[in-house]
Amino acid sequence: MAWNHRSRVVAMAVALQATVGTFVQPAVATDLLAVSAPTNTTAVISVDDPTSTGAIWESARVYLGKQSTLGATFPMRGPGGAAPPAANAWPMGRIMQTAGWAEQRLAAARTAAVAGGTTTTFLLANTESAVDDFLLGAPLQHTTTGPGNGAAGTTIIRDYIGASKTALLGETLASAPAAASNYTIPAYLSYVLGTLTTPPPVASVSIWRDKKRYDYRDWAPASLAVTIPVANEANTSFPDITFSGRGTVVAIVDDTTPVLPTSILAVPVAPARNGKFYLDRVKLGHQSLSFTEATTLAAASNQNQAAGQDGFDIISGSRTTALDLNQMAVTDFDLHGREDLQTVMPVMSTWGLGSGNNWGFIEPNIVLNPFSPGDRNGYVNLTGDAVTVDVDKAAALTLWW
Amino acid sequence: MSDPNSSPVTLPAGSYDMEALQKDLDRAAKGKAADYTENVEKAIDTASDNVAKEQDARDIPGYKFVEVANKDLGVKETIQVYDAKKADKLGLDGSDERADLTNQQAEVAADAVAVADSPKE
Repeated sequence: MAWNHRSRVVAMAVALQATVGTFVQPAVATDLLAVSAPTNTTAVISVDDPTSTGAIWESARVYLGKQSTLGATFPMRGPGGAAPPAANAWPMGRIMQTAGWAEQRLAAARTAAVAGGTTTTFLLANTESAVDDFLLGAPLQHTTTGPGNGAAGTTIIRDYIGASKTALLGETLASAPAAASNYTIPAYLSYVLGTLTTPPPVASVSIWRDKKRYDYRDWAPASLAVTIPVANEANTSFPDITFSGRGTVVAIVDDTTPVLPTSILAVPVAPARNGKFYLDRVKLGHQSLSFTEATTLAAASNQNQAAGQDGFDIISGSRTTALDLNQMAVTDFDLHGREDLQTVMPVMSTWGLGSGNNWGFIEPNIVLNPFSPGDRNGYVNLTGDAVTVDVDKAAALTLWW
Repeated sequence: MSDPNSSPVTLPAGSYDMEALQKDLDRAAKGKAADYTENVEKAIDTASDNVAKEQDARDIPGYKFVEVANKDLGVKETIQVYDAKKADKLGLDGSDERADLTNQQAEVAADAVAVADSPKE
């Protein structure tokens, strides 16, 4: 008998399902997801059997079925390469889609002349979209947005007005863009959180543990958290996405764990530094930004189904933002005044390590809960939560090339 | 007053080619105002590569939805019916869990017979 229990030899792969209830076998060549050790547990669905046994012992429970929970943490490394991957091709993007984030792809960069603008807005070329919000979450580069085309030289569009082609920024620039100067919208892959009114797709997931593979279908996320901690000598952490959800076991078979290809591992996990962090379009020092989407999953009763219930639906959800800011002077940034007035503001973050691994995150409209002072490595910090006021397009996670 | 044709669109989860979507939406905006919503839906549908277009939580493997006329009520209804071709394609042989169980029991019985019949050392 071969040893079959090395707990560090694990892998995960994910494929989107076209149809609820029908497992799609994830392929090792295209569907592996680079995650930390995944969790996959299965619990019994049962009810007490009231049958008297004639002794003091209760009867064995009535076995009704089983339910599985599986999740993992994805250290944020982009797909890399020279251009955005094809539609639905990036495995982490599939997880985002199951959580209701629409994948938006611009395959080739476009450059055009600015029509005008201010330090917080760009009047884009007349050839841009006439639809409101169309460019929300898209990256934008110009000589005024910073040096280069990486995280420090790119801004993220907070809002877009189609009638006037106005892009509202998540930051305040040092100077307004000069008319007729060129701007660039680089090739990008953006995930924009929608209303979830139309059910998002569900996924088939395979998890290997040494020489055994666990297959699940109809996986739907119950939580997905994007955490972006600043990396430095006192804070040794990196951005990640943690997700967990429920699925149905399809099969447990003997299969050797596949090795992640170099094409995935050669793209480094990008630490959050040498980029931008703006709250209410003001550049602030901070330690972390995290966005958590939590959903309630349910399945309608249906005796025609093998499990006695239909596929999982997301029936409700919440979105929360947690911030850990450096304490600042009131004259620099009146945080508590903004709390009291419930000022609606954007929060924007950019970081990255090159083409296909440049990241941006924006929440266009949040309001603050009260913040409290504390200590972080000998400095006064302010921690608190914020909530989004948007029903649609409440957050965007963007990669650019 | 803002242009109603520029109002934001909600994108369901799926993958969207933003260049194609922009062209389709701009074309929709140039149509008649009365047809705007329908045109936008078409534009979103055309530009998306949505693997879950057919998704319905009620889907049962090997079954399909069909529209049938209910003459008594004078309405059309969408019902789920068994689709042998679809079931074959999915590798389902029409068996349900009970059939699987019967097969397993048959295999166990066959194994037991095989063990009983095997020559003793």
